[in-house]
Amino acid sequence: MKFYPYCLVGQPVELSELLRGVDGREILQRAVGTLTAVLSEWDDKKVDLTRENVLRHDAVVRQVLEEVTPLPFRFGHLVTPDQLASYVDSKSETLQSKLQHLRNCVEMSVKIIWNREIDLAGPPPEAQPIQNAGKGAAFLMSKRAEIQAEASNSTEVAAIANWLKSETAGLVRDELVVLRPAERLVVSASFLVDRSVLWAYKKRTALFEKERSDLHFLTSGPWPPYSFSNNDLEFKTHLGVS
Amino acid sequence: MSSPFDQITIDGESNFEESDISLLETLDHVLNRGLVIAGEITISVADIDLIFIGLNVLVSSVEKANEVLRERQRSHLTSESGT
Amino acid sequence: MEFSPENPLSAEPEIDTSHAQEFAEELRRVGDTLPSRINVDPDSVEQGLAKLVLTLIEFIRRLLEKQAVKRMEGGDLSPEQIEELGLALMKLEEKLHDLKTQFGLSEEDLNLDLGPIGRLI
Repeated sequence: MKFYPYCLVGQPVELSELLRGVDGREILQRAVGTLTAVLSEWDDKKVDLTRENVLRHDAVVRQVLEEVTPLPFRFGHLVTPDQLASYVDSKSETLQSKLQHLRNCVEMSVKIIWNREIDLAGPPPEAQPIQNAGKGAAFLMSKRAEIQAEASNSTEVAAIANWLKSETAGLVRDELVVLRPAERLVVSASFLVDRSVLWAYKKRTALFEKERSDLHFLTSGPWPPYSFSNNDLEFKTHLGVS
Repeated sequence: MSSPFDQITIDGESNFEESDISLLETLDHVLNRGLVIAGEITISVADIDLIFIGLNVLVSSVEKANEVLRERQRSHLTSESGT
Repeated sequence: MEFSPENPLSAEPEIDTSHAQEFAEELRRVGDTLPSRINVDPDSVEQGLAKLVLTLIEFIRRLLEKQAVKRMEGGDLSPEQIEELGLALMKLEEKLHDLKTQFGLSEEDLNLDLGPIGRLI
């Protein structure tokens, strides 16, 4: 018998009897060490990656989020009761302090697209052409130009990220900002926001489109704090290669 | 070779719907794509996870690597002469 | 966050954007990078492993290019060395392109963000 875990909480929460999870399964709460795990029982069946199941997983964690901020698992983990117990036991202090860190918060997300003109037309004309430059040297020169363009691009994307961080400073308890200068979706940010200031946070982010007409925004939330939990990574590292 | 995104979203839906962005954004949060924690790969055979690879790779220039190796040699010699 | 426990599908997250289609495209692109799980099953054994191997080679190839350019800029390479280095890297790029085609993989399939490592080199 296996478990499909949705999240970890400090104490059991009140959940509707009618709530169903992945594969339409019942939701159970089991004490695991000093914590409680919200889970479904599982057999040897595979977890089907479908739209419905992903939404159900999220819905269960959201139900818990209504009551208290949990430590979510991402979609698709199957563990034995022993594995789960061993994980919680060995990480007991870390998990407790994480729960404390997430206390009363939700995750809010900001994504930014920057439509700058990417010069794909090729390298700019060289100021000093190398005498009798062979193909090899020319190849390196054009790579050099690409790298320089990338570098100046990275600087600008970092500036956008800094702008975002300064705009949200004071309203967020924690942040995770991912930069992708080579893409159009240059910034993906997750913020840990206390529920009590959520309204102020939303007011602030509502002004973004107006303040930065050079950027396109997507804001979303509230989410369960998937980005600040990392149960998955630690789980895998813990179970690893034996 | 299809990614989890493809599996879920190309379900016979050919037209773009407003709900697409909602699903994609949800997937972005709920699926562990491993990219954020770069260097983590699970290899499975016939859908059974077999190997987890956590890559801790030292990537550096040759000069830097030589520096590190010289340091290591130096401290190795010192400890040897002590015994 | 209102939703009914009986119908979890109504528990939609709030998403706000004036550019839904644009973001949908970008999320698809970004979501399709090196998968955290590479499934090797009887029908796609070769392709699964090929993608893994080629992605790693591509990663290293890009690092080599960056390092080569750095050495060239550093001025400690002779014109002949620069030429040889450039030709070798050019061939490497071509070869990798051929392998990609051979295994039916696209540029995007091997796209791996160099991230902080890319900036350190």
